[in-house]
Order: sequence, then C-alpha cells, then structure tokens
Amino acid sequence: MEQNVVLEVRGSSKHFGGIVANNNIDLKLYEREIIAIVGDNGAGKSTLIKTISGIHQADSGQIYIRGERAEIHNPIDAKNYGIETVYQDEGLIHLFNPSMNLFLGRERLHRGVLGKVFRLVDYRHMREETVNLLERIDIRLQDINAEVSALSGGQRQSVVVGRAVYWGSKIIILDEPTNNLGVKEERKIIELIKNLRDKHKMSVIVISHNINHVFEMVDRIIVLRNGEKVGERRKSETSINEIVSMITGVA
Amino acid sequence: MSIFLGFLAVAAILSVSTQYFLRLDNLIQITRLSSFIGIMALGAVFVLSQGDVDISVASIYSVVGVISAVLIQGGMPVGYAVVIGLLSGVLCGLANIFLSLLFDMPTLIITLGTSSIFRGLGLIISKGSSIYQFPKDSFFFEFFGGTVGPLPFSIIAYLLLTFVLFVVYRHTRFGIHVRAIGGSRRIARAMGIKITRTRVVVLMLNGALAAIAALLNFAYIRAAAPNIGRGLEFMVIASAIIGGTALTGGSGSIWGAVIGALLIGVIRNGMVLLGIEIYWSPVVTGAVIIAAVAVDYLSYRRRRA
Repeated sequence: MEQNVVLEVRGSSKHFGGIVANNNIDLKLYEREIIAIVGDNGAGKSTLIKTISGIHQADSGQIYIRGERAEIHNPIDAKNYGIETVYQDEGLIHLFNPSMNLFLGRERLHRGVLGKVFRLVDYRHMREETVNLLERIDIRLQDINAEVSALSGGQRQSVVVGRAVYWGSKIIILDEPTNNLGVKEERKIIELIKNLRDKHKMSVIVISHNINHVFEMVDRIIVLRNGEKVGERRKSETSINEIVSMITGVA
Repeated sequence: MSIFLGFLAVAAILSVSTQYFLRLDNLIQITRLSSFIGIMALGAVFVLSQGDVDISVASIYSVVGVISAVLIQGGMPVGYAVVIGLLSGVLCGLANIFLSLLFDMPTLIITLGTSSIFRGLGLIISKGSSIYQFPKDSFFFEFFGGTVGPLPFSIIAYLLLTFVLFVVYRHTRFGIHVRAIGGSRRIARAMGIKITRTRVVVLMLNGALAAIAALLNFAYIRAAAPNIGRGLEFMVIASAIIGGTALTGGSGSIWGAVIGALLIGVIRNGMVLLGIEIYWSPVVTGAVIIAAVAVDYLSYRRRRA
C-alpha cells in the first residue's frame, strides 16, 4: 500500500563541542504510523527529537514536511508545521484547570458584545470543548474544574496529548510516555497512542527505554547507537532480542 | 474566605475594645486611607501573579505627588499637572520593566534600585521640602479630594478600579496570560504567549495605579512631599499576599487584596484608637506582613507536595 511521507529527515548531524550527538541520520515517517526511536543513554535520540521540534538547529541536514523543505528554527516553527512534542506531563500550567490548559494561548472570546467590545473569555465554551475532547480520547476526569496539579501524572500527560489532538497536530512526538506511570495508566497511554494513529489519523514518534511497550505500540523501530542510525526494522519482522543487540552493539 | 473571616475577627475585637471604632466617620476614614494602599495593591496582584515584584511603588507614589505639586506651584493649570503626574507614574513603571529587560535581571532587583532613584528624583525636584500652598477653590482638590454624598471620592474610584481590574484579571485573555507567565514562563512562551509585551503592560499599569493613588492622596491632603509613603510598598505587597496572591506567582485574588488592604488599615486604625504608641505601628504591621508571607509560603509548599 502506497503511503505518504509526512516527515523526512535527511543527513541530520549535530555536535556539541567535541561530542558528535547525531551523525548523518536519515529518518522517514509515514502517514498514520507509529515509530519508535530507541537506543541507550547518549545514543542521540533526544538530540534528534530536539532538532525536529526546533529546540536545536542541526549542523547539517534537511527536514521535509510532506515533501516540502521545512525551516524549523524554534519550537513555534515546529508547531506551525503541525509537530507537537510531549515530554511526559510537562507543558501544563499547574494552577490552571484542563480547559484553560487546552486553550492556553488560544483562549476563546465570547461572541457578540461581551467578546468583541469587552474581550471577555468564554469559559463555558472552552469547558464544553474540553469535555468533548476528553471523551474523544477516552479520558475520564473526576472534576473538570480542578487544577491539573490535582490530576495524576498519567492524566496530565493525556491532557497534553489531547491538546495536540484538539489543535490538529499531524505529527506528535512522545518522550518516554510510559515512564513513571502505574500499570493501569501505562495501559491507558498505550491505548491512547494507538488511537492517535487509528482514530485521529496522526503520525507518532515514540522515544522509549521500554522495549516491551515499544513492541506493543509501534509499526517500525529505529535504533540509534553512539549518534548513528544502526538499523531500522518493521516490528513484525524483528524480535526483542535483535533490537536489544542493535542497541547494545553486542551480537 | 479565611482572610475575610480573619478580617471580621479583627473588626469584631476592635468593636468591643473601643467605642470609637464603629463610628461612621471612623469607618469612612479607615476605608479612605485603605483605598490608597488598596489601589496600589490591585497593581501588586497583577505584578506578583506574573512572577515579578515591584518594590518601587512607594517611591512612584511620592515622586508623582511631587511632580504635580511643583508644576501647579509653577503656574501650570491643575488639570495638565495631574495628567503629567499620571504619565510620570506610567513612565516609572516602563522604566522598571525596560531596565529589567535590558540587563536581563529580575524586577525585584531592578526595583530595589529604582525605589531609591524615583524617590531621589522627587527630593531633587522638590528641593527636599514639602509643597502645600495651593489655589483655594480648585475643582481638582474639591472633587477628587472631597466626598460624593457620604462617600469620599477616593473610595468610589477605588471600587470602580477594583471592579474593572477584577474583570480584566479573571475574564480576559490578558489576565489569563499574566497568570500563565507567573505559573511557568517557559511553558507560556512555548504556547505562543507574548511574554515581554504582557510584562511591559503590567508594570506600566502598576505605575499608573501608584500614580492614581498618589494623586487621590494629593487631592485629599492638599500637600506633597518627597518623604511620603515610606514603607508603603511592603503594606501594598502584604495586602496582596494576605488576600491570597502568591508571592511566587501564578495565582491571585483581586477582591482578596481589597480585604487585605482593609485589614491593614483596620489594624493601624485600631492601634491608634486603642492608644497604642505610634512607634508600635511599624512593628505590628511588620509582624502581619511576616505572618502573611509565612502562611502563603506554607501553602505553596503544600501545593508542591
């Protein structure tokens, strides 16, 4: 089946002083797929992700979004290209409730005089939209008006992911999404990630240390070691052992 | 809610301790004097919520009065002098945030310095002395320093400002962004909120409110002096904190600051009525400030846990 490439990284290299963090890395991400980038500490996963999300500038290499050359110089550029990065449950203002976080920076004004003349925010609309969104991604919250600091880490992470879904991101990067979660919440986030591909038609990049979770969620696995891409496998054509040996470099 | 109860408790204690407390003229006097601190406390709510601190407000308060007074004495029509005074306050606020951005330093540190600079400018302009010879019947002093019916004008102005700023703080994008920046500047920036622009507006607003308070006070006492308001900045910030605005930023309460300012006003008034030596006033006020900040810090610690 012909699939479109939504994101392509060609020859990305980045060094910090004398350390080569990424060396000539190629990566393709297709429509509606989930890929994992795996590797040991220091393999270069984080650097690659930060290059895609605009936090770093690569020393060389190009990024293409849907076939077109993309200039990503900062996180806002990345956002404008539809790339959202989720670092576990970071990205929320803790004293705000989920709906204020969902609309952070994009708050809805009332229609009519209240909005046009007095520039008042329409809390009710934002709340309704939040309730609908949470249903769409199958998250149940006890009190939608509570500060997000009252939510569990997994619930907070879901709100961040939900924000990406709501605002129409096409590409979402999740950094260690299953870390620091209880068993039930691990299940929920794995389901949510699969739904991002199936229900919400997004393309997902997951960084994870947990090879078991990786094998549960993804379609393809990309292995980095010492700043280089040492292999790429379809999940269905490989095994945990093979991936682990590629990560460690020990046959 | 707890602040309000605390306030009621203090008021109740004073009502039974002295017959003069509940007299109408005394109550009006309390609210009138609290209104000057209160107006500035509204600004403090915004500044603190944003994660900034402006301790130069008392100095802005003194220099604005001096500027207007000197201009009037020099023959300028009162209306113009007042407008220039107001603009001076805004300019002081702008100077605070400008210097903070220029040197990339927290506003707390910058206003530590501008606190002296602004007051010093007032000393220079007034040559160190008070100014109190003003035209007898001037609309400005009569109206803004007088009463509208039973209520002093300053209280009416205070209530109007409180209402407007409450709506802005809670129900506009601007207010939400101020709190977001105080909650996490990094995340606010990542979500596209204009950090610098918001901070500039808030600091200018704070300067304007200090100027308004100064001009209302000027209209009432019909005098200006470079030494006015020493120590006021701490009472202003304490009012905001007592009222529930976090010193660390991210959340606050406009109406809480109103109660906070009233509480401080009531305590000072109560001490006078009870015949407590005036020298104890700063001691008690300081103790209240420490208590307020301590309670706020403890609830911050609990929130983090």
